[in-house]
Amino acid sequence: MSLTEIVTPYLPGLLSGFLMTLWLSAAVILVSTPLALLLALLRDSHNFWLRLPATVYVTIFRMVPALIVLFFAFYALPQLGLRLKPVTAAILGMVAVGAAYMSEDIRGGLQAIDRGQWKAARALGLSHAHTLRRIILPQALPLVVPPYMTRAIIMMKGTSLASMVAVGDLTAEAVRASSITYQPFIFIILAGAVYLAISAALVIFQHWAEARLKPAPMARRRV
Amino acid sequence: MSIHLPDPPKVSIAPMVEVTGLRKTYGSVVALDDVSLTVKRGEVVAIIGASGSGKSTLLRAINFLDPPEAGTVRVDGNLVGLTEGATGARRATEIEMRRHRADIGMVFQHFNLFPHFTVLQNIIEAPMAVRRTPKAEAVATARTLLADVGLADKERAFPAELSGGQQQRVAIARALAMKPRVMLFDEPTSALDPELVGEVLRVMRDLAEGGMTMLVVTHEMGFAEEVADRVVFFDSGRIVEEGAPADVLRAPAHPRTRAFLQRVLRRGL
Repeated sequence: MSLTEIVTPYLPGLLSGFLMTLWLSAAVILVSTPLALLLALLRDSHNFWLRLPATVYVTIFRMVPALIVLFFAFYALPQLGLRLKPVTAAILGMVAVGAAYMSEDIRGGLQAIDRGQWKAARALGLSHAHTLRRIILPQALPLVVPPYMTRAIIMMKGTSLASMVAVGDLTAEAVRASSITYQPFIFIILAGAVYLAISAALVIFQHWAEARLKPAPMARRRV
Repeated sequence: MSIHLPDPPKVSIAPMVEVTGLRKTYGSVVALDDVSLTVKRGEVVAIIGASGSGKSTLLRAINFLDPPEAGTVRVDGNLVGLTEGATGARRATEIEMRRHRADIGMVFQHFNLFPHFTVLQNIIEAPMAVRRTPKAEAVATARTLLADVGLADKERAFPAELSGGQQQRVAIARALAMKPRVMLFDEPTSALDPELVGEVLRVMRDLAEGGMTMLVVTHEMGFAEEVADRVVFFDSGRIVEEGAPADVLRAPAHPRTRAFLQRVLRRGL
């Protein structure tokens, strides 16, 4: 049997798995991003009662394996009466973990901004929200892009965990085809190559974003 | 050259700045120990003292960037950081605090310009956001101020393209664009190379001659002597001595003032 003959019958399944992986990745990254920004801002808040829950959340979800969180969402929540579709459970679990990690990437960028920027903005009477939006975030954004995009790639690859909770993603389809045909080599290589291609697209996007968002040159203090 | 002050000061008998019993501690360190200071309208007060003596803390307490633990600050008769109600003073809300701060200009040692904004954007941002000044008016004011500080040709430059002295002059223009009642300068020339100090001091001198009320934390004894109406010497969070520059700098009464001035003069500052 030629490779083509082995693979062809499973192409529709692999294609739908690929689309599911794209959909999972996009959903997890796009839902995690605003949550992560919120968590990062809460963790830097001056208000203890805002800071505390955010810190507890980020700490716990960075300490628990993502697969355990996925299993919890898929197997344990129904025991509490919350029965989620596999895809929903997978997205929920991966966002819960991913947002915690991503918030730390964003917080690093926010903290890299000189405290003097905050002081100057406050002295001028600018509000906290205005300072964030106009002064801090635009300066933090270029600093956040490299760790953020690295995190996005990790999250995309991490969607393969969804195959463990009955989601028909690329990994699940490749494993299914392998176990039917007893030809794991070609299917696993194929799946790996597709993940590589998606990652490559994200890396290209990162380079484009970094070129677009050059960090503001640090103002010289002595000349 | 003089600095345009857009609004002529309203006639009032209240002192421009009235600080009473300010106290601030950092852990066991007393940064401000029952500090009281009155600054008349149009008066220029130079604050001198060793680093860590509390002079910068005083400026940050006046505009509540670093709120004092006790004491009151009044600017042009109005409480800063507090609101007077029927039952006494309470802590001002964040919105009230912003309004208070907008009336107090502040210039920092490290300029703290916004590096991603051009010079013009740096100056118009706060008037438009805080004072709701229409853009055309904010730009016109900014250009006048830039001309006043000798940087009319730099409005499109980014801070990183300017020398330290130019950046500090932009920072002064940015503070003035809010039409403050008083200007606080926190060691405005300490981060500058010696040859750039003069251009910043010149702008500050113009500002003083224009009638601006100024509190200047400085190590520039020459500037203090020439421009200040009064010199205040700080030591360990207290005002140890104050008076006319000639008296405090040339004939200090307090031994600590004498010791400090000797150290400073030996360093050749």
